Amino acid sequence: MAATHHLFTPDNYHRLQACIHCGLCLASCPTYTVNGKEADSPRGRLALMKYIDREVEFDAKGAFRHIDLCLGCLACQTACPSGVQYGHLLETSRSYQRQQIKPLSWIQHQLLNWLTSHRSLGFITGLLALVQRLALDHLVRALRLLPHTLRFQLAGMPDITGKAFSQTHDAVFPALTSADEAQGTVALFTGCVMDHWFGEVHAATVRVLQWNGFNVFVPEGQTCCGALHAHAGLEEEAEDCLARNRTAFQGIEAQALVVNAAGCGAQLRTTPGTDQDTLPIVDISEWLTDKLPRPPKNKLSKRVTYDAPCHLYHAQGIRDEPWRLLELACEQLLPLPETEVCCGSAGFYSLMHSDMSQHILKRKINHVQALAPDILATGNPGCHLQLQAGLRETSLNIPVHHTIEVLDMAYRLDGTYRHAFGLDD
Amino acid sequence: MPFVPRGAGTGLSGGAICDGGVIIQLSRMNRLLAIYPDDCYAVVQPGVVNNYLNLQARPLGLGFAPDPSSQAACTIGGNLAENAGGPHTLKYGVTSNHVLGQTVVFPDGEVATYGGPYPVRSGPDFSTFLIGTEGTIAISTEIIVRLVPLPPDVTTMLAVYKSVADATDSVSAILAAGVLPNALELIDNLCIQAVESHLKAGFPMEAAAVLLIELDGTKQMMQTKAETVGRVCKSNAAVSFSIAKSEEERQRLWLGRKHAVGSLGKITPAFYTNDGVVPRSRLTDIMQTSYRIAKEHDLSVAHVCHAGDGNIHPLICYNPDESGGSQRATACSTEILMACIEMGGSITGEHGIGIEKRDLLPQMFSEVDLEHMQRLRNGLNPEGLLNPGKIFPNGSRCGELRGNVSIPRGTWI
Ligand SMILES: Cc1cc2nc3c(=O)[nH]c(=O)nc-3n(C[C@H](O)[C@H](O)[C@H](O)COP(=O)(O)OP(=O)(O)OC[C@H]3O[C@@H](n4cnc5c(N)ncnc54)[C@H](O)[C@@H]3O)c2cc1C
Ligand code: SF4
Ligand code: SF4
Repeated sequence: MAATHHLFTPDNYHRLQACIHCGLCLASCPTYTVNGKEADSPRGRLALMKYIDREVEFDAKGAFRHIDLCLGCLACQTACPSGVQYGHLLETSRSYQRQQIKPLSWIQHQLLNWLTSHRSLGFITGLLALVQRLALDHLVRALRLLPHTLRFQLAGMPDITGKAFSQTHDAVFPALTSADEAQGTVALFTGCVMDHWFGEVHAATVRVLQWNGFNVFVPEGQTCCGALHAHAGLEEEAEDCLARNRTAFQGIEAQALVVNAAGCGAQLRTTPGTDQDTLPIVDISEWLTDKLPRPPKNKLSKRVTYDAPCHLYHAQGIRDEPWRLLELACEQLLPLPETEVCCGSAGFYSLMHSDMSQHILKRKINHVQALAPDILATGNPGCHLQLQAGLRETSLNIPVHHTIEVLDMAYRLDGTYRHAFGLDD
Repeated sequence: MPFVPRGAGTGLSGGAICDGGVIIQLSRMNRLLAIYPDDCYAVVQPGVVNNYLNLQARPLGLGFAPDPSSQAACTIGGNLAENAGGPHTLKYGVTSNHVLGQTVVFPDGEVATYGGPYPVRSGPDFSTFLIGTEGTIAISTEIIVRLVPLPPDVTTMLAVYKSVADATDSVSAILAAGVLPNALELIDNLCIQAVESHLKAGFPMEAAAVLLIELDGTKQMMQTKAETVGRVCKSNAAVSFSIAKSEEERQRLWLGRKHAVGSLGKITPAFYTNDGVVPRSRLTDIMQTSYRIAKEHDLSVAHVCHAGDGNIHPLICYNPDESGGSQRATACSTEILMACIEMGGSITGEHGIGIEKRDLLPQMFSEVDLEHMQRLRNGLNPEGLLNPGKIFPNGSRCGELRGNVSIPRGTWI
């Protein structure tokens, strides 16, 4: 048979052929677990990609509905014994879809741009801060003024100050140890949504690093990591983000670029072209596990559990490290069943496929509810928002925090730490 | 219109594929209806995943014994239809030993119930009726399965060999020494290479073959038996023999075994899984024969075997894009199966007949045997609408599969 490829390069087609249809990935796939449809399983999606690639008269549009319903959580990649690079094939397919089958709708495209550009995010953030100050979000939720999908998103919002971390802080933070305890200098990746909505996570990250002998600085000119674009099939925009970041990080003198958002880390480190040799890209939990000369003196007397972000657990293979940090921070650490299963956030997925997303979230929330912890820790903004919204909607008063925030909380039990950072009041 | 039941689609003989017609996907009938820990049984819908049942039963000190390597995905309904086995078949038997009863739906819509939860029975015993018929007579909709108490303890051992024959000789010797392990698995060099390339299970890369041997029981019982096994392996030229020291090490070894077949995708674009069986005493012969036949076809072959049961899985590596590639693999596999039959064995140990081996069935059964089997099937599936074209060779009354199936043989799902 003469090979005509519609979708893949021969290399990628070869990658696709690594799938031997064994089905060992099925049980790990959240969408298949919900609806039990072969077409909504990893094996089914790979088969559809193959047909789109090889068959002339194939209903590619119909097939893409199943590929659209994929979370991109990569649990199947972890489960696969045959080493199928599902994530890569998925992004290639989506990029083809955007170019050949169905471009992103105008509103979807705008939404994506608004949420990933500093200027529009700044405006949205200011607005959200006002909404929160006037408690309009509570009103909206109480009176059910907006569609559920939007109310749900509001419910997950952290307390917003209105200003981005990078706008309100210096770019350089010196180590707070004596010279002989100094560990060098690291750069911090601030991102887009993280910078505007999760300034507290950045602040905690910087504090813990400073306290343990690191100088921290925020390189200028950095931008969104491009993960959301890449997942939506907008290859060019993703590449553009990457190029701008590459320029921003060119020649900076740091031991590593520390990232505290799993999705950004996965995008930055797994994309070809980022030079891991000159500037390793690391997740904060990975970086700190063996670099905490001054662990917290006291532990939080709280019951804490941890939900693993897919982009940490599956995409970057960072599994135990956050747990190690939490062990240092709290007295009672409770293992969350199915911690490695997606929470249904998956970037814009929770907006686009809210039914499926809610199904998947429900299962997660049930597990958390059964454990009844005081704090739920995680390590990615999307998961953070999704889990917090799910808990609030279920009337569970359990705060969600980034792992590093929990560690910082433990440090803050110590007066000298509080004093050093002016946190006494 | 024909219709075909399908569980998780992990079957390896093409039983759940359908060329025109309707697939009845049972994976959503996935409710575990009840577990009765005191009476050691569970009632499940057919789409319950094997692993899931085990995870639910474990806290109660119970387990479902058949443990196919695909247990993370395959369904109890699929296990029943294929009469699946697994590494622990040696001691605990196959699925038919663990099904107490079931409710089935016949093609005309009639519903019947066979067997029941009681463990002893006399009179005509229909509890295992239809097991292994690969969804060609009726569809199981509710299954009562036996749960067995989990052993108090297990010991997992690894014996390493420089020659495959030494390993296969050890297999019979272990059983002859009066030890019945609950699992006795062989993995050969090519498979070890594939597994170790991504898992680091702990199989030495230079070994020609390893035996994974597991005992269960109380600590004292196992200690003397483990010593016997060690002695037997060494006297059959094992270059090393070790006992897993921690649960983690044990789990790693087993993960290596369970991922052995899947891992092969890393080293070959495609492979054909063969499922031959020989009497245990002929294991050494059949392994040598399998390597020889593959060599004659200029193909490489890897093996994982439920060695204690004489069930071999030659995994024949080939390139489907090469012209004649899949035909050569098929021819190679058929020759190996014929060798199994000559040695007094069978063409399938656990993967079933499906479409893949239906033409080989007359090599195993006489015309009269086949005629009787088909009379039974045609009586209960008179229009031949349920899963046509499976199990029985051409010339059967039922609708034949049209044309060639586009999925290469050996990779049917
Ligand atoms: C990597 C790998 C390892 C494997 N290891 C083993 C092993 O160690 N031992 C072993 O025995 N097998 C093994 N298999 C084969 C396979 O997993 C088993 O045969 C399994 O029992 C099939 O279950 P399934 O749910 O996937 O069934 P499917 O593949 O969906 O179906 C198999 C057959 O059963 C029929 N069927 C399914 N459900 C029903 C029902 N409810 N009622 C009636 N008919 C039904 C189908 O029509 C089909 O003919 C392995 C497969 C793979 C891919
Ligand atoms: S586990 Fe890997 S090889 Fe098996 S079906 Fe899934 S993707 Fe394919
Ligand atoms: S990425 Fe996640 S949702 Fe998509 S196929 Fe894999 S396991 Fe399923």
